[in-house]
Amino acid sequence: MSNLLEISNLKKWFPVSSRSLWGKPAYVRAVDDVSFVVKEGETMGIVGESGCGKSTLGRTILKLLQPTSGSVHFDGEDITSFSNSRMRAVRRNMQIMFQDPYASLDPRMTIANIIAEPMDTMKTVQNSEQRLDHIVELLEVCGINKAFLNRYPHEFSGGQRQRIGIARALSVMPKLIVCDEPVSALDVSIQSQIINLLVDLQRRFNLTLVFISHDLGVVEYISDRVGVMYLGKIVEIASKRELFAHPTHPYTKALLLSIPEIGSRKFEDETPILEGDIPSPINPPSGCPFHTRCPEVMPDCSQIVPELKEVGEGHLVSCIRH
Amino acid sequence: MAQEVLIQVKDLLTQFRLDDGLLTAVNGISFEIHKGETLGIVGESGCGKSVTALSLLNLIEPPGKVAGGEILCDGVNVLKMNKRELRSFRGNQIAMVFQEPMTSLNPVFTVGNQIDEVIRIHNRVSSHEARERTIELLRLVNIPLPEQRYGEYPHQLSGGMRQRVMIAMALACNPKLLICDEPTTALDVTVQAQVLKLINKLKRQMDMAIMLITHDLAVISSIADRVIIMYAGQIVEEAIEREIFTNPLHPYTEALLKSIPSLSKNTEELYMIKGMVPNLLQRHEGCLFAPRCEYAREICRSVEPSSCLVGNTKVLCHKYMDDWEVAP
Repeated sequence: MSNLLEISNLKKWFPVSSRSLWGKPAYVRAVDDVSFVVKEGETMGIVGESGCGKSTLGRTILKLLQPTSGSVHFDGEDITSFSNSRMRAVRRNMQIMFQDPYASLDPRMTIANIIAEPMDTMKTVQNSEQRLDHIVELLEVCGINKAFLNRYPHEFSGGQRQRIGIARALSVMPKLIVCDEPVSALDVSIQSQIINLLVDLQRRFNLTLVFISHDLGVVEYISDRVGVMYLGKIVEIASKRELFAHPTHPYTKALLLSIPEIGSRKFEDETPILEGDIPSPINPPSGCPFHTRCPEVMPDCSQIVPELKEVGEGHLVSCIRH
Repeated sequence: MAQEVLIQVKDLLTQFRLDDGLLTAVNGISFEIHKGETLGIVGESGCGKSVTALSLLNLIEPPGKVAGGEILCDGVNVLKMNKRELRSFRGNQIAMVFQEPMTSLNPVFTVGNQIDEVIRIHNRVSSHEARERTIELLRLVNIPLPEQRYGEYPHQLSGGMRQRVMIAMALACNPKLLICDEPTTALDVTVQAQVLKLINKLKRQMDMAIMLITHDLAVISSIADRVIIMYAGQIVEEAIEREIFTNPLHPYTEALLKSIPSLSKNTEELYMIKGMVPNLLQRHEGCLFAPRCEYAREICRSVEPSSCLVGNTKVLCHKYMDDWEVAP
């Protein structure tokens, strides 16, 4: 399998107003030096807590946000410096699906028009008959009754809207879909319907997915490989099986310990699993970003910035202990 | 475990009069809360779990109304209390922590000020005493540097910290029951773990009962003693935590458990519950879950099931009733 997406040393810093007029400009380091590859047909899961930069990463990959530095290679081409008009052709092959099914669909468009919008802007269909056929086909594929073609988004439930979002992303037959928390706004029974649909479509159309979520259970279910993010950096990346069987970075370990599981009484004793909150990304801690909360911290951790190092086959960890 | 009843709910019926009809959010449910236990209430959005909690405090506002039933606390019906009685009942007997810590705190007052207020409404104390008590409460909920936090505004605190402040406020009058409505839904997993541990610690230290409302089965399994599963305004199953998760009886509970992707199980395809939650504005015949149930028979679609006891589990399903085998 060839690499569909390669990102190297990708950074996205957002400027924020500094405290004083002559002070040094301050930045939120939302994505800070992230590198990984995604192979064709695979699902790459990105997990992390809120504010760790996972959504920014997804948008920077699609160049919906211009990277501050670093590069994005898609399908063999370096698209980092592509102009907007050149990106339009590339976007035919890269689409996104959003978290909030209520905010991501235009309330004044019928679902037929919503689904067809990518086809219309990219002119992938020749005539209106072909367009309609394609819409009907997409609706069927995504499990929506085609009689609802001319209805508006408010007439649908959250799960159905997410299906519409999937149909829209699929309409131009992309190679890559970035799924930004596609199921976190849904109830359990609906969540499993959407996950199964995504898995099914991926097999059918050989899609490559970048699946962003804070829910480790969902990520474990759907991904082939998983990257764990903390404060804008990838701290550990490995195949799903390896990551969940042998978590190596202290943050990954803590994360796995914090997840409530059925049948485990994890929260009986009083010692907290991880203390404190995530530090501000404007002023990230020196050295390893996790050293302020790390249970295995050493004196060197606040000095040395750890790099991603291979500890096993395809298993990379950024921790100076390894 | 001592099964001393703290709150008894009988046939609670809460309805909302909306433009397009009468919506029955809670449909005649009965349950008990025992002293010192953690009762978990699980269900998907719209199943009536939050409305149940608000009904317990008689906090339902028009167009909603508690249309029937009784809520007994020490033999007194909460629904019949006057304003003054309610005022001392809320806070002293039952206190509630809401889901959204940011919208539940007033942004223009310091957090210390807001907790002081609660203490001073319920007790005759000087402002100095109130401040002392507030700082003690902040310390109790593991807020570092409570003296300094006392003078800070909600926006200066992180989400987890705000939720702790909300808990501190609820604890101000030593309630006998603390209702937590989705206390950790807005929080990250590591912070969620901290808050859940805190709730466990407080329950033990203050000998309170906890009613925990959430849609997250894993959270419930981790901390609840007894679990109630709600669907479309009804209690479909009620049992102790172990029973629910090892031996679910109601088809809905069973389906819910099968549809969660979890770290330990590795299934080829996730189980799906087909269809959607029924529209509660419409009248339904038979069992409300029947259209989505894989065991449904003719009788399920026509006759409403009644609650029956199987072992120690209370379940609302025809499958466990006497007429199941002969039913068409």
